[in-house]
Amino acid sequence: MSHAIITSDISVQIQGKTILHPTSISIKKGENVGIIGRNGAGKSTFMKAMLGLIAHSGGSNLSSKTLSDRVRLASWVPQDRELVWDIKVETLLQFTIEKVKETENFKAIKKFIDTKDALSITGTLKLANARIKSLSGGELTSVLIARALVQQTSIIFLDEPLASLDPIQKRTILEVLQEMSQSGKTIISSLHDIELGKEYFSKYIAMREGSVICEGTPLQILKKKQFDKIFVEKNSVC
Amino acid sequence: MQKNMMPKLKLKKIFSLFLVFSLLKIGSSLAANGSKNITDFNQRIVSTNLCIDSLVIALVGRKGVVAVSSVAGDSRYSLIAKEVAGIKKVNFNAEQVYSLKPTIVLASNFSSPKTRHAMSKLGLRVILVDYARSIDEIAKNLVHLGYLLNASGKAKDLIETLRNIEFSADKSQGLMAIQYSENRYVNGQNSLIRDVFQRSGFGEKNSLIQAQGGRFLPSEFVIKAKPDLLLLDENKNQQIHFQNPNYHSSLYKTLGSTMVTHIKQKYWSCGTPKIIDLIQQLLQHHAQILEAKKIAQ
Amino acid sequence: MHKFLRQKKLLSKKFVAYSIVSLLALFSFLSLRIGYVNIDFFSAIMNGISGQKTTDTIILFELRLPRTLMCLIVGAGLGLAGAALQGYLRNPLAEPSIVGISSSAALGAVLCIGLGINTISFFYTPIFALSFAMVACLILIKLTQNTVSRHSVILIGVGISALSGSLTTLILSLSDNPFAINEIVFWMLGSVTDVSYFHVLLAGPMVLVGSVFLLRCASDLNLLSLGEETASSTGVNIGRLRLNILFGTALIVGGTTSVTGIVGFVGLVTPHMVRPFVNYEPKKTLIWTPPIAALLILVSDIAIRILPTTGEIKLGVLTALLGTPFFLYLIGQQRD
Repeated sequence: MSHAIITSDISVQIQGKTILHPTSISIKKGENVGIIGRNGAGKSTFMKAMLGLIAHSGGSNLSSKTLSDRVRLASWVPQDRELVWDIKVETLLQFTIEKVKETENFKAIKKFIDTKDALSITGTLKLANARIKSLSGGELTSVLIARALVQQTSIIFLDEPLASLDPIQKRTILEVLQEMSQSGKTIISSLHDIELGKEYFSKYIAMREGSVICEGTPLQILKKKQFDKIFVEKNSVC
Repeated sequence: MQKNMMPKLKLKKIFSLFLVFSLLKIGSSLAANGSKNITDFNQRIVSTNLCIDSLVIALVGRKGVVAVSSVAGDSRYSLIAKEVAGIKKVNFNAEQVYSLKPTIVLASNFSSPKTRHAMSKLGLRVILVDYARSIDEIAKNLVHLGYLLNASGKAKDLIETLRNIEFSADKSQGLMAIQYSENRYVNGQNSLIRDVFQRSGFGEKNSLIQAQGGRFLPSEFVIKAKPDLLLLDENKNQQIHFQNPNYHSSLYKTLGSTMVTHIKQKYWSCGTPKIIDLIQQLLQHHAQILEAKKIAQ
Repeated sequence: MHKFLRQKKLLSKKFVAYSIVSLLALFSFLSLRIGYVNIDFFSAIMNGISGQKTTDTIILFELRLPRTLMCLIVGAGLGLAGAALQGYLRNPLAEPSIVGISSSAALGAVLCIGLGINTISFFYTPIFALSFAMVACLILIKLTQNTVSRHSVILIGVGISALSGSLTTLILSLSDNPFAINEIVFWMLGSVTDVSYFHVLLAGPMVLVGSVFLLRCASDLNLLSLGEETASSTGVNIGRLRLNILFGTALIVGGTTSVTGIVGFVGLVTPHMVRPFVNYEPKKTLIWTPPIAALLILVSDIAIRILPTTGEIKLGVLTALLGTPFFLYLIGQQRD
């Protein structure tokens, strides 16, 4: 198996403050990765830097690409899911498809995922004609994941996809993510539901104060003694 | 009981004392007013309005004039800029005026009542002079000010000259004139410029412009009214024969039947004896227009 | 069945387009026909065509035609700028006059006139207005980059408006012009009365170029409805989008304001009128707003001329009268 993402000493400074310390990791293709850590540990920043959405030093195999090349490599599901305009679900997905069709190697896509495909993968086909503002939190997250799917990328980043969802909705989303990774996509999400996620994710990356402190399978990570400590105490090691 | 009576008695005493004092004060000021009118030659005049400044200068020259309004020295708006050079300029402001220790303050009836009230409170003698909206009202103001400033003789002379202009214009021709300001204002019937027009032979027959009060009018009205004479504001840096770019260009395309003249606003905005010059100019225009009409026929 | 529906949709789209165009034509005609005074309209047209000059041809071709054209330019331009700002800021309350760009442009124009620079060349006034509009735009973009609250955009606008409004008043007061109050009213409450072809030629090209900038953003605004990060991840060049919005808005607002003063709220109201008919899609809103906004201004300007008033109602007064209650209603609708 080859790698989907490789970072080399990627780091982020904002106004002279280091938000992400130089980090080098690699993620295999088809993995379902959860990035865990407390608020402010740098989970979102790390993902955005990998994707090239924010200014950073060092880099990743993604962020070094041009904007138009990146479009077809990795997509993004934001944490802020507030949409101002009450557009139709199908239309929202259509916007992305229109943009993808502008890309150069568009015709090379073998398995084109259209709106209907994406919505059925995420279990929201019946919502195709619904308006965005009428959706529940879980439905909206699923729709935004479908939106990422129609971008025809092999990598999908999700910023706290489980935030403010109820337990049932969380399980639905986790199942969708697992299915997608099983079909060959690389999924990287930040999350807080470490216990809930352990059955679904193939890998956890734990972060503290802007650094990756350890990585491994969820069971490996959770087995560590004094698990809570590693998130809190400065010099404790994994 | 007695203890309670004490303050009341005191109050009464104070009140009556106050009454006596204020009566005395009123009496003395009345006496002073009476004497000042005719006999005080050392008066300190402060005039706070351009139109009044002009009347004062015409009546007494610079003698006794302590200050005039700040615009009076600005030749763009004032016809007496040279005459008032070196005289102090003031705004209509109680503090400024009070510090000049005037014996008489002249203010327009349009001036701020608040400031007027403040000045009276400070003991200043504030005299209101109405804004003149006709030649007759100019004469009235001259009489009024002549009496106050001890220059009744001069006032009489000035009125004489005003009355003596020979109105040679043939009013029966029914020529129409419109004065149209840069800001698109047209003066109403009860205005100085209308009286000046009438005295120089121009009437106004057109219902489009005939509003009781002044109005802001779009250019459309003015063009449609087809006046014989169109009096426009002269631009600050402009010669009479050039177009004033602040007007809509269509006003200058009025088919030759309208005579368009530029004039500085200062020549007609104030009711002063100098209005004679404007009447004479308009009389000439009237004659020219009639001449042109004759030739056309 | 699908094909049939699509055809029907296409037909109705065409129908809508045709009706908007014919409404524009109708109200443009009425705007020429209805004025302050009665003119013999048809003989004026005939005389105008044959090159004969009468009072009525002058009124029709020199006063009313440029006024009608200016209404179309101002309406379409400000409508487009409003729709673009709402799309870019993802804020239904945004609009050039509300976020302070218009008043900043007015400040630029007044400063130019106050310093006497406009006497060098008339082109300096719109250039000043454009530059000041751009500064306001820059401040707005910079300050909104990190804020999420919808109302904070409006507060920034209140700040910019208050500052430029007071500076405008200050400059006019310092200019020792006895008619300063009149001037202030002109700049604060826009008007198209007595505009000439010169003004049309001044504002027209600026609005046209500005529109090109803004219309280029149309597709990007669609993607931006998902937020800047997501838009960026789908290939939207946020930096370029920002520049397009900046130049487009500044050109349009600078160009129109330097000629007519501030005409507010048309850019606020119109996109909201359009949205329900285009499924709330930002791109379609952007495209359909200008003709509707032009129509709105045309109708307002006709209303100004037929309302029986002694004084003249300013266009800016009427648009504000219609727009402010709607603005307040929108604020009430917002949940932050």
